[in-house]
Amino acid sequence: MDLENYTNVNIFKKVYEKREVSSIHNVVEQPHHLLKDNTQHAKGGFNPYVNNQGTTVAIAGKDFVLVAADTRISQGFNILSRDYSRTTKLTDQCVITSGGMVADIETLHKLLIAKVKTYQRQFKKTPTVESLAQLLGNTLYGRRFMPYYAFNLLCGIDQNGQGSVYGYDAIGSWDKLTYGVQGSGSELGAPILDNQFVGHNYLVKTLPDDVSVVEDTGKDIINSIAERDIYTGDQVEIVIVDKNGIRVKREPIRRD
Amino acid sequence: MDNENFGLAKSFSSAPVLSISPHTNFSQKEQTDIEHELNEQVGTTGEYVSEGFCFKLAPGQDQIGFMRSLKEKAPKLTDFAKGTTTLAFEFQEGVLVAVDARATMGAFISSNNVRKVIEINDFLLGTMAGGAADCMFWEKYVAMQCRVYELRNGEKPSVAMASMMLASIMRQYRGQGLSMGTMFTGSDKTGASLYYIDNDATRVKGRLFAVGSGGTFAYGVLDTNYRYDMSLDEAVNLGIRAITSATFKDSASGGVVRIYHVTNHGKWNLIHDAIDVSELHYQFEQNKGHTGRGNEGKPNKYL
Amino acid sequence: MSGHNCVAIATDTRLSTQLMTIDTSFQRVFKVTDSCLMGVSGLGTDVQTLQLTLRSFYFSNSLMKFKLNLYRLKEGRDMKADVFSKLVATSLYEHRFGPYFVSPVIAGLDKVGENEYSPVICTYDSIGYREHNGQFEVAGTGAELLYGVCETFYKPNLEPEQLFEVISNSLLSALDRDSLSGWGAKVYLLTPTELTVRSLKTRQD
Repeated sequence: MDLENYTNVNIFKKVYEKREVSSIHNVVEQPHHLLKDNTQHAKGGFNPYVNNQGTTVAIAGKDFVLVAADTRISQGFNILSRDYSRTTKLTDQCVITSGGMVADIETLHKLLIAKVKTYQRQFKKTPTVESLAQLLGNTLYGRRFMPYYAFNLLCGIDQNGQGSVYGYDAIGSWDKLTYGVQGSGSELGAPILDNQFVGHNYLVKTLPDDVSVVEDTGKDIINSIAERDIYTGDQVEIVIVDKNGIRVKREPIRRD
Repeated sequence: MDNENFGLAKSFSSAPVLSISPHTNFSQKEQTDIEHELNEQVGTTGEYVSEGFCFKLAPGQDQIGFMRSLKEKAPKLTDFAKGTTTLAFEFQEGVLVAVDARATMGAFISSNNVRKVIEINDFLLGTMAGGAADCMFWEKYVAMQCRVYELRNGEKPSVAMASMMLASIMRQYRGQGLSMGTMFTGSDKTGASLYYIDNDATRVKGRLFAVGSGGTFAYGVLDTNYRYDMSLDEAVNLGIRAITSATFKDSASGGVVRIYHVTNHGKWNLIHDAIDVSELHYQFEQNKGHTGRGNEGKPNKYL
Repeated sequence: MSGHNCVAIATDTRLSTQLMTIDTSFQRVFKVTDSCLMGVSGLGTDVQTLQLTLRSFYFSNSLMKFKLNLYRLKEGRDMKADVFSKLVATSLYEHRFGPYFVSPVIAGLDKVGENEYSPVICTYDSIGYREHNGQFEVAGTGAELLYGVCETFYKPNLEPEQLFEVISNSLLSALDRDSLSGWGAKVYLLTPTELTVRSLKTRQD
């Protein structure tokens, strides 16, 4: 099968194309390391992925959504940054927050901002959270064969004024949740959230209505995860989305 | 449909608008003014142009090798939502679909309340087993194609045709790493019918299927109690029963049961939305006089 | 998990091969002496591990019982929990090059004064590294999940009934997120005077 036909990375295409033999024979072609087929390189071939870890928690309330995320970026056992914001504003009522590979996260967030702008110009209105949720799902699935290494939560206020959280896997399967946790500390955080907002063994979910209580819970959860997860720490970034817009604040947590 | 601006949503959603073939290359397309402007502003050249319906591939020749080695390259990436018990069977009043609601990533339960029946449109249903994203995306794609067919031809496509669309897509992507095992059911002029389609492009018309990791356990209950001339009530109870016992034995299934009924005259109904399987298990066991903990006949030994 | 003059072990009761549940009332916690409990969880859930789990049964009961009895005969008293925890570590290390694939947890109380007991809480890797911080230890398939909840809910110096609440809440929340555990749970609460065993009702899916 001719795979070239549906590759759109033009830069790479040029690199992989075999150069025409020069008509001037005395010019010696310098071998370029990129000219070699990537598959012949190391075992396993081309690897664009690295996990920069990080944890993010989102909790929906009656008329707000709260995101609590850490700000650490690491590679292996090294910390690359201690104040990276993994949450991006998409519209006045909607933010996206992700854990995973920073390069992919930034690309994805930038792309979504571009798409929101396109939407605004075409339809003369701001996209709702519901349509952004579907959009993000399709965007992620569009990279089914070279997925974004990003684990996302899309949080916003829906048309009824209720908080909503949409959780995704890497290839764009998504679901509406009332709370979610993604990233390196997701396994540590999920049971705590269950306990606080569902109560074990109950599937009935009611939305909390007090911002300050939820904020404390969010901070506590990130703090607890930071105790045990080496990739989580430094600062907790709280983003609150409600009808008045978006507020961001940061607090230091353990840095070791 | 040669106007490529058909449907304003084109540049916004990744949904295909031009061709039934997902392989069409849109990269040669001219960019609209807005796209130009945005590319300058945001600097997403290339990324943005590849909109439409063109999957971005890894640079290099060995795409399949790339997909296969994803697991080592990006550890958590391939832990897509997986694990299921879904079942569907034909009986005299149509087709009954019963599913559980658990999504697992490795051993971790990512959700206990997933909607595994995809309501494609008002006469088609698809179930979800394997990669959640693959099922959801392609079944929605089929929904769109069905609508296009309806607009063009003034009548709804048959279930056979709609299921063939999905099977054709799976054939095109065979060996590329998609993961899907779906029961495609719906009701048309000829009544309700049931197909099984998977990522190897298998498409089987049949009477009784159970798909997913808990499917083998569900078959046990189904095959024992299945009769074609069941009433709807009996069928619903059988569905619940089979899912409950499968979720008990299989750790990757659980959560709640959802039951759909596809009638013989062109519509489906949601019969039960979310019954907790754990409560059902205790209820069934206690009806038998057991405690539900599975320690009957064992000495009550603690140490 | 440790409290004020008390320790507790909470465990699920499932035994499985891969995804399939084999037994829903499997015993994982054993009494070592009057003041010491040992819980053993087999790593993984494949067929091999099933055999190894059974071997760990043999290991924890017979092998350790032999060593305990020998100690009792020599010294004329029961082994202290602290000593026992070190004995387990060395016994595991004996199999350094063919280890048991188990991760035991030990909870015990050692008398250190009049009405004052020090808790012994520790866990091991499969070749006998002993880890203990005196607060809580977790082991098994749901370890990550348990770390999260325990870290949030645990406080030092809890009274027995509070400790029971905390440990049950922690275990149940973690079980609901771990597909490989569940199907019943037991909490063993050890105080200087008595051992209480309670069954918890859990989800069965």
